[in-house]
Order: sequence, then structure tokens, then C-alpha cells
Amino acid sequence: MYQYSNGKKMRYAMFTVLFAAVSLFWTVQSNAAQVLLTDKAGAPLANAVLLVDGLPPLQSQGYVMDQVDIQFVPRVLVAPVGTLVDFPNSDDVRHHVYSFSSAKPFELRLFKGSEAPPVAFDRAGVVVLGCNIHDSMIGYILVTQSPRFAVSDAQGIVSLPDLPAGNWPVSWWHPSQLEQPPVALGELDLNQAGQVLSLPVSSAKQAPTPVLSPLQQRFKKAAE
Amino acid sequence: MRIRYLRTRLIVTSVCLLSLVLGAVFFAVYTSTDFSAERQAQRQLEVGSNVFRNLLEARARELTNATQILVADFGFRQAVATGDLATIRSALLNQASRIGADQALFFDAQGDLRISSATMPGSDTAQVESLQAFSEQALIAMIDHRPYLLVEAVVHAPVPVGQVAMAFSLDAALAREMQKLTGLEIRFVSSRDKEVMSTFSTTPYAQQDMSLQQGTQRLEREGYLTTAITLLDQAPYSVVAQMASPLSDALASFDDLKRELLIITLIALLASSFLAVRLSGGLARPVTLLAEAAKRIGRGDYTHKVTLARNDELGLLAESIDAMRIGIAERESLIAHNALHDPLTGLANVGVMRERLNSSIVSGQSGVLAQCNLVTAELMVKARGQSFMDTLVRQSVACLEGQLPADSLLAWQPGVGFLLLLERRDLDEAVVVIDAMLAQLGEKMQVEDIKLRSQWMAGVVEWPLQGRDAGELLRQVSIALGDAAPGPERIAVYQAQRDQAYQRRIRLARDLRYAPEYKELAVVFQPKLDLASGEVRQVEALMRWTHSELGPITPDEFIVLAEQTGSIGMLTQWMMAAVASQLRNWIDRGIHLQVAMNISARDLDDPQFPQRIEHLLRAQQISPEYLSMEVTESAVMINPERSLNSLRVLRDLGIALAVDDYGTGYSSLATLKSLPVQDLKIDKSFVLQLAEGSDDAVIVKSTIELAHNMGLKVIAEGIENIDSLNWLKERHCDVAQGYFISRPLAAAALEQWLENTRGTFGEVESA
Repeated sequence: MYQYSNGKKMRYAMFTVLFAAVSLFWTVQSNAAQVLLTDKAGAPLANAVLLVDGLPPLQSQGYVMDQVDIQFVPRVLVAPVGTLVDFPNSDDVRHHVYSFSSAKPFELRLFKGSEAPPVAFDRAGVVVLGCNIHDSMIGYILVTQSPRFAVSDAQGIVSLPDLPAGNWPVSWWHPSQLEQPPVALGELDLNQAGQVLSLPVSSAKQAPTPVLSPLQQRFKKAAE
Repeated sequence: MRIRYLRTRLIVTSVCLLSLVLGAVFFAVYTSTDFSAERQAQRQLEVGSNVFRNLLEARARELTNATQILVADFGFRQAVATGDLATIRSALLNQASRIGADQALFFDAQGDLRISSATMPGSDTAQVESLQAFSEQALIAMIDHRPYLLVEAVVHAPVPVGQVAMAFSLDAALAREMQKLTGLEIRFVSSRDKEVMSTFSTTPYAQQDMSLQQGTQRLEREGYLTTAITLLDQAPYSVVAQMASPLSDALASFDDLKRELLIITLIALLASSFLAVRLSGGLARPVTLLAEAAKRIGRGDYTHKVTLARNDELGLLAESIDAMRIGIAERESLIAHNALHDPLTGLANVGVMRERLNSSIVSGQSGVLAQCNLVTAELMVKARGQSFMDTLVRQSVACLEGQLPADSLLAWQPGVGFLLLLERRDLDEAVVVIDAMLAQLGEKMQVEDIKLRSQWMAGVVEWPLQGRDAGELLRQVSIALGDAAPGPERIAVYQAQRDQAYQRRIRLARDLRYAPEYKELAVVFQPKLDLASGEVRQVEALMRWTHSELGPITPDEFIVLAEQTGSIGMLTQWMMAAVASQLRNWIDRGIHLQVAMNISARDLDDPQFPQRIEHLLRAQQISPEYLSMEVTESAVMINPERSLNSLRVLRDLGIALAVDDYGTGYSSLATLKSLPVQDLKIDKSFVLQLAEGSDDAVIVKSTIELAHNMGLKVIAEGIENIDSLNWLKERHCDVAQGYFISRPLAAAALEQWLENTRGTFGEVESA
């Protein structure tokens, strides 16, 4: 076990060094700040959101929450307040997308393709998406006032293009926060090459799947 | 009884053995069925508890599905996601009643219990006290002190926003339902700190003290096999499901088997006992029969044939016993005959005689007993042998056939002779009968190649005059026979005083043999007067016996005894030696006397006798004419042939011979003529009462004349007076002997007498 965790740490370390070299190269090529997000254990954290305030927003693009292979794609979508989000259905089955989140409760009943109308998100907050037909489908839309934001990819890398140099207030969010608002990290200079941010999140992948239900966990705790 | 005992033992042994075997079989089957019943109950219990567990899980799955439906409901999700508690409650109650849950709970995302369908009075929500997973989907919970089966479902909207739990009471109803499916008695026991809080059971009495431990236990006289499944064990709470499999059910299935087995065992025992009784009877009965037969034979009853119609060893035994019975019967009759009869003559023996005599005496009868024997029986056996004697006796018995009175009893006893019992007769009558019998026996008969007359004598005793005891009478009759003598006194009657004489005789007979040794014998000499010359040239040597205690014994007494007892030969020997010694002495001193000496029939019967005399004379250098010998007629007659031989040898030696006691026997003149004797000695019984004209005088006178005519000299003895002497002298008797001349004298006295009386008798005659 020691061997294993040691090996894992080694791998993370190697990865970090590689990332630094690449980001250095990338900084030279384009003007995008790249940050590696890790969880508490130091593993790359995917689907985490970094938000930067105090800057003018970049021009807005189309915001889409696609459904592919009975999954929301992307898993986490960040949308500025007041934007419309499209919910195209790329599957050949119908979906019944809903949200009971206080930021934007809505319901798109049994639609196919691009039948569903875009939904406007007017309030900042976390909107948890579900499908009434497919319980395993969970998606998140973070509706934010922050001008700059990016979601970490599968490698845990967040790329913030055209980020001016200097320290900017940074905050972060992850689906494990559920409907909690993003957490401020203070002012950070994200342009520094090879920056790694460790977030107090237990990666879902790394954490063992809980066998006990919340109720059981409670009694288990009580018993302990 | 031994036989009965054997039989009983056979029966008891076989029945016991059978009982043991059957008992063992019965016991084995009984215990194995018990064991089997228990195992069956155990299996039922195992299966039942598995079924119970599966049922509980199945129920939980079912309930979980129902709960899942609730939490999947979009409306419900919406209500939960929006925190619409009123809606949530209504939905919960609705679903709870739909699925029959006893308690429905709603927990928020934080896990706090927000809604419960059933609450204790005075409380908003139920109190979940303990919770533990039972299986993948089932939980056991303790809510408000009551045990529940609990299933839960998380409400996703789409992330978990709450949790719903449906609980089902572990109560009697559930237990009964489980009982139907498992066939076991079921009991739910919940406790806190080991203290039972509640119990739900399918049996009314199971609420009592059934231990929660596993194993066999008895309740209300019913055996149960129990096991327990711990459903919840979270200190301080615990919930246990106890299952009991009643043994009675399992045992009941074996009851018929056991009953049948018992019946079979009893029948087998009965049948085998009956068989054992039969078999042992078949063995014991013939044994009893044989034992009875053996007892009968033992009692002397030989009439019943012993048979067993069997071919086995017992049959063989019966045959052997029967052969034994026949053999014993034959031998016993032979023994009985021999016991009562003399084998030689076939007559009764002395035992029978004794018996008859005794019974006759006892019955108060009187009668006469006679003993009768051959006079010369002993000599005859010696001369002719026993077989000759036997033949003689047998022929004598044959000639008595039909001659005796029918009511008399004749017996023969070897060594004793005939015994004749004459009952109810007085002595005179009896003597006539006995005399006739003796006469009959004395008839001439042909025995083997010899014609002879046998001489018989008889002793007679009268009873009860002389005795009242058979043994005593037999002794007395024997004494009487001893007193009998050939001739007129051949029948002697027992007289009491004679008995003492007999005792004396027995003593003398015994002592006589030792007389020479004790020097009690002596020789005396009686002068014989030559009547023609008046000189004494001869003397007769006579023996004297002075018994140390009884005093002098007369020759008449002891010579007869010696002859009867066989001591006479010894006496003759002694006499010979004494005479020879005296003769030598006299010859040496110039005294010349011829000494006469008596010899008995036994001496004559001994072929060595003449030789011994010759040797003796030669040894002493004595001329034979100094010796003369006197022999009685009857002695010669016992065995005339051999006696004559001996006499001739003696005569040839030059020894003078005389016939002694002439006139007392039956000797014929012819016999007398054949004897090589020179002298004839007239018996003193004729001489003692010599008077002119008497019968004796006639006999003596004619005897003298007869003897002279035959060339024999005549000696007369018993002269006690001068008249007799003179009478004899006148009749030309040659020699006289008697007290008148001189009594017998010792050698010295004789010599003196001879000196004194020289020539005296010549003077007497002339005077």
C-alpha cells in the first residue's frame, strides 16, 4: 500500500513537472493562463471551476448543455447571468430535463433533438440538472456574475485565455459543493507558469463509493 | 426338582437372550428414530431459518421497490427538492398505507428526521434508537422501543436531497406469516441492556422463559429445538428472532413406526418364548422320563420297558438304560437265588434257614433243628477230592427227594452239612424223621466209579426249649453234632450242660498244640500181665496231659480232641520220641519190656508214618520187637486200603500190631482176618462187668476162642478185680491189663513196681 501511494505521488510529481514545461511552452505560444487543479490528495481535479473577478468579460459565446450517451455534456457548464442555454438532445431517446434548484427551477418535458427551447438563467447560483427518465444523468450549470471562468478538463487543467498579468480575485467551485456558491481563494496571479491549485475537494473518483446510505452513515457515526 | 430346574433354566436362558436381542434392536431403533427426529427437527430449523432470512430479505426487496417507486416519483422529488413538507408527509402516508408499512420516515439531505408517519403521543417525530443493516436492502431498526424491518431509499433531485424509510413492525402478525411459510414457531425478542422490552410470538407460551440459547429445550412438556438469529445488535439494543422446531412433529412421524416395532418385538418375544418352552420341553420331558425310569430301576422295579421314540442321543440313552434294566434284573435274580440257595445242591442255604428259624420263633412256634453231616467228610475230601465229595452230596440230596415231610425245610451249607428244620414237632417225632433220613443217606450208592455206603450223623436241638435265637440254635446244633458218634449214638441231642464241655473242648483243642512245648505232656506205662507166666513183659504207653490251669486232662477227652482237630499226628510224634527215649534207657539198664503205643487213623493214613518209625528205631538202635502198636478197628476202617498198607509195612519191620477196642466197631471178621495183627484187645466195656452168665462174658469167651482159632493172642483190659482176672485166666486169655494189676505208672514208678511185684501174680493165681 505504501509502495502504491508512493508510486502514485511520484506519478503526480512527474505530471506536475511535465505540466510546468508544457505551460511554459504554451505561454510562449498563446496568451492563456493555465492552472493545474488538484484535489486534497493532489490528484488532478476535473470539472472544477475557477472564477476570476475584477476584469472585463470576454465576448460571450453560445452556451449549450448537450445530452450525449445519456449524459449531460459538458458535465459542468458555467454561464454568465442572463444567458440562454440550449439543451439539444443528441441521443435517440427522449429526455426530461429538470431542475429543482432555487436559482432556476425548470422543466423540459420529453423532448428530442433540438425541440427544447433555450432556457434563460437570470440569477446567479448553481442549477443542478437531472433527467426524470434517466436518474444517472446529472449536470451542473453555474450561473455566475464573474467575468472570467473556466472548467478544468479531464487532466485538471484550467485554461483562462487573455488573462491580464497581475493578481486577480479568484474563487472556485466544484459539483461536490452542490448548491453552495463559489469559494473565494483571494487574489492570485494565475499567469505564473506551472501554477498548481489544490482544492479542498475529495475527488469522487478517489473517494470510495459509499456503501451505506446517508441514514446508515448517520447511525454508523452515532454508533462509533 | 433338578429336571424342572434344568428346563426352567433352558427357558429362562433362551427367553433372556431373546429379550436382550430384541430389546437391543428395539432400543437401537428407538434411539435412532429419536436421533433422526431431532436431526429432522434440526434440518427443519436450518431450512426454516434460511427461509426466514430469505423471506425477510424478499420482503425487504419488495418494500424497497415500493419505496423506490415513491422516491422516483417526479412530484415527490419536486416536493422534497422544494422542501414542501406537507406534500412530503401526505405522499409518505399514502405510500405507507399502500404498501402496508407501519412507519414511514423522511430524512432531509442532512439526515435529520423530518417526518414520521406514526409517533408516540406527545412527540412530533418518532425516535429512531438503533439501526443496523440486516442484508443488502433490509435494515433492522429500533424505533420507539419497537423492532422494525426497515427499507430506505434516497431521493435524488437529481442529487440526493433526502431519504425515505419505510418500516415494518416485527410483530406477531409477521411472526405468524413467517410461521406459515417456515413451519417454525417464531418469536421476536427485543431487549435493551439485556432486558426484554417486547416479545412477539406465534405461540402463546413462548413469551415465557424460553432461553435465547440454541439447542433443545422443553416448554410446557413439549420438546423444541431452537435457534436464534440476531437481527440487531447495537448496544444497548438487540433484536433476536428465535425459531423453534417442535420435536413432537418430527417424533410423531416415528410414532407409528415405533408402535409397529413394539408390536413386532412383543410378538417375536412371545413366539420365541413359546418356542423356547416347546424346545426345552422337548429336551426336558424325555430327560424327566429317563430319570423316572432310572429311579424305578433304582427301586428295583424292572418291569417297565424304557423306550423313547427318538433317533437322537436321548433315544440311544433310553436304549442303553433299557439294556441296563434287563441286565440288572437278570443279575439281581441270580444274586437273589444265590443268596438263598446253595449253588451245589440247589437247596436253601444257612441264611434262609436262619430266616425261617427266626420267623418261626417269632411266631411262637416250636420245633426241632437238626444238623447232619458225613462222618468222614474231611477224610473223603482228602482221599477223593472235592468233586467226588460234591457228587456224593448231590446224589445224597437226590435220594432224599420226597422222603422228607412236606412242611420241613432242608438246607445245605458247605462245611456244615444238611440242616433240617422240622416245625411243630416234638423231639421224639423229630428223631424218628431224622433217623429215617440218616438211614436213607446211608444207603449204598454208586458215586463215580465207586460203590459206597456213607455214614451220617446228626445233631439235634429243640426250640424254643434251648434257645430263641437262630444263631444260638445253629451253634447248639453244631455242638450236638460234635457229640454224635457213629453207631447207636449217631443222633445227639443238644443239652445245655454239654455246652460248657464244648467250650472246654475248644480251649483244650487250642492249648493241646502247645502242650509239648510247655512240657505238659508225660508218658505213663500200664503193665500188661502175661496170664500164662504171671510175668509182666509188656507195658502200654499212655499219654498224660496236665494242663497248667485245668489240671490233668483225661486221654478220653484230649485224644478224641486231637483226632478231631488233627493234632493227633503231632501227639504221636511226641509219644514216639518219648517211648523211644524210654526204651533206649531201659535197654541200656537191662530192663526188657515191649512198649505198646496207640496210633490213630491219621497216622495210618500218612504213608510216611512207617518210615518215620523205622528211622526213629534205627536212630535209637532199638530192635523193632520192643515196640508194638495198637490200632482201633474204626481207624482202620476209615481208609482200609491205605491203613492196611501202613500196617503191613510196620509188620514187615517186625513191629507187633494189635487191634484195640475190639467190639466197639462194625468190623467184620473178614476184615479182621485181613489185618496183619497178632493181638486182639477186647474193649474194656466188655471186661468191666464180667460175671458168670452175663452177655459180656459170652462175648468175651467167644471172642477169645475165635481169636485163638485165628491164631491171635487176646488181651483184655479193664480188669478191676481178681474175679475178672481169674475168669480170664481160666478162659485162656493171654494178657490182662487193668487197675487191679496196676494203674498206669511213670517210668521210675513202674520200675519200682516191677521190682516189688516180681512173681506176685503167680501167687495170687495160686492163692
